[in-house]
Amino acid sequence: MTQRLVIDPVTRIEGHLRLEVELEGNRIASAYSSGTSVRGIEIILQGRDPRDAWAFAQRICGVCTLVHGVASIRAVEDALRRGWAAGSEIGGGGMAHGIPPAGFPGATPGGPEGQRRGPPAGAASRGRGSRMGPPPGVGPRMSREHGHGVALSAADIANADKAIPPNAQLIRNLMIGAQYIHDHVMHFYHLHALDWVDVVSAIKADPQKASALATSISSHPKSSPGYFSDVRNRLKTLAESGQLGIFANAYWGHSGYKLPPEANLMAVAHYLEALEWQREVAKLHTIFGGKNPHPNFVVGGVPSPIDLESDSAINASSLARVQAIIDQMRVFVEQVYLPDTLAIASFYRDWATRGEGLGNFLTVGDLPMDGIDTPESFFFPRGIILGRDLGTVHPLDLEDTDGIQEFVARSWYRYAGGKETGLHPWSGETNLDYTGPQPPYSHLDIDGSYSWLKSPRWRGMPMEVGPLARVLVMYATGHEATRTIVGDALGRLELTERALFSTLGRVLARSVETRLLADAMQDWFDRLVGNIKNGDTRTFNELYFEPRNWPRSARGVGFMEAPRGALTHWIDIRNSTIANYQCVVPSTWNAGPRDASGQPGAYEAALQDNHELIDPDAPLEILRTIHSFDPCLACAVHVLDEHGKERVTVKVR
Amino acid sequence: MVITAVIAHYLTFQRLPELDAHGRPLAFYGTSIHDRCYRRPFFEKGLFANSFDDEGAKKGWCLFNLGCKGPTTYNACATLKWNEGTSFPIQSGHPCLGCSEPDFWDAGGFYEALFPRQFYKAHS
Repeated sequence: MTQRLVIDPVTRIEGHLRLEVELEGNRIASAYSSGTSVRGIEIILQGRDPRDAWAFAQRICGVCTLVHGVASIRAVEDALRRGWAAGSEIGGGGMAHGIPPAGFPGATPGGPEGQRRGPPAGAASRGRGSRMGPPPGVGPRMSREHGHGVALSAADIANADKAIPPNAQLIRNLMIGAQYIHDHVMHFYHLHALDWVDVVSAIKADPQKASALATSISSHPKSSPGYFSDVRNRLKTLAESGQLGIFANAYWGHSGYKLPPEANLMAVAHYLEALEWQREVAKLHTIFGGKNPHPNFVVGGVPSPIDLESDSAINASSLARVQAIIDQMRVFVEQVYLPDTLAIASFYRDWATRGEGLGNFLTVGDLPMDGIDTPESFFFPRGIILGRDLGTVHPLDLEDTDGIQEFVARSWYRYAGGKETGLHPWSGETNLDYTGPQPPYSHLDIDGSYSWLKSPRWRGMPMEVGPLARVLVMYATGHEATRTIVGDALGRLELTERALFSTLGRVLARSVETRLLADAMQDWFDRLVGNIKNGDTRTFNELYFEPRNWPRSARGVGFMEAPRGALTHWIDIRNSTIANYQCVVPSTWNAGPRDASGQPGAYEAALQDNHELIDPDAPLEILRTIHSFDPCLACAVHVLDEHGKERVTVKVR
Repeated sequence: MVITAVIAHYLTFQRLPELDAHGRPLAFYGTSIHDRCYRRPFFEKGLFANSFDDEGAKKGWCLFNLGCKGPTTYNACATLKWNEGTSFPIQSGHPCLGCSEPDFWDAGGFYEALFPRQFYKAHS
């Protein structure tokens, strides 16, 4: 007998994900992953100033709060670099770069003397929430009245320094690293842990035993019996009130939970600690980027200047705060996150034999030490692993038009060249074509199109991206620290290398790379301080910011390893304006539907790998494997409706 | 912060705080970022950053010429700041995008200086 199980929406993720699973008995026979809302950001970006794109793209998601901003900035920079290198005609064209009206600030750029002018008449202000629309006829498509830099000759542009200043690169690395560490800890405790940790069971814990357990695995100071007793009492009060609050809506008491009450209590205590910790470490973004979520970036560098003699720039005081945050990150990762991962994993070793799926992994690489054009200097290497073979890392060429392609055979899009074709993102299309059932509906048409996600493929093959892909590529390329930490973790769990290809492997990999990054943060910070000591405070290359110096047409790709995996933004710039923009995001690689030849995406394949449900009415096993990917569907799709307000609904048909 | 404050206001006084024409609490949206900006004195003196890493940027001068929408944006970023008072966009060197104003995304490029007309309209 086949029955269809529907989970929509899957919660404790970002965005809207629907799963339809066909069961034979209690075993998953086939799985279908669907993004149920559309991301329209590519369409919104057309016709805009490429320098503005990061701020739009960044708002694809508030969790990976900087990744789309960085990918977008890099896409523009890459396009300009390629255009300059190819000797393309210079001059954005089509725009009036006039001089600002006389008497207005900025009319005389130059030194402070040239700028001394009084404020415009009436500048003493009064106003309240009034609508400040642009003057008639002013819109994003014709708004560039003047650039900020100087128009250079073609020869000067050819000879100009095109490097993004090393300090800007290091600050970007620090911000990216901080995003990872913040995000992975938050995912582990606040989104994923409750699949493994039974909060209600923690109430039965003996604080003495919990303390003994905690001190046996870590030197974390908050480990006394009194501390655990307090946490247990807080939980007890919560449970007795009948309102579990943040802990409502889970499968408490499910026989799939294997931790003793003391381990559950320890994990819940750390869940609460991680809430406070993440509030502090988010401030690294605020120091360099002015806010979190959505810190600021700028094409050509970073917005925050460095000046040790200024009270309004990155100085010794702000650097000391950054150092303190890095210390907090390292301590929590070393003393809490990694030990907890290993302790919890030791009770779930059977999860090392299911949930693998594809066995193909892709990384675009990131965190350059020597410029974005030198992949060999990246902390995360670029490469591809096929069929679980760690002996060979295949090269990835982003420009290869037969390499990365997106397919829509089972997605609600149409391509001008037909539904069966694959398109390289530089020639990508975003034509919505919904053919699914009209809501409310009970089932998707899984034999036809069933998702707003496209299906990215590399040379026609589906790929998994994310922490496991990165750790495997580092492991396979012989990264020493990775091999040591992975080897140690597997040794303690009495598991073999083969165990990495699983749901548990994915959870371990996320923890391992967080540890590696926490150490790398210190290295980047030390280099930044070293540069400043040596007198290099540059953070911005103005060549990138003046459209009059841009190639008339240019296209590029901005890549980054987001916490959830390989992310690429593809841009086509014509006359200083975005002609086309495509995002190929991690959760599209992982959560995308089948393709024309029926090959499943990574989520689908992982769910089809050895999953026997204890109770189909409480499909905890499905959540474990899906959450191990850290789904972020806002990234893969964009919110259009208010479905997310619903509770988890599980329907068994 | 704003949401917490509105809830606290309601719990304390049993009514909602006064709102502006867009339904925003006046306590947080009653004054422009420009009027509360710590860089405002440099605007008055006519001292401006003209690039992201020039002398003006390093010394914390006004970001008007880099497109700052502070003069037309009503929000409390300059007083409350972000993440427990750590910083706000202008303090970290980036012009205000104007993100709390209606249709800010189509109100001119983020790096385009406000036109005099917009500016005067905001301050008349």
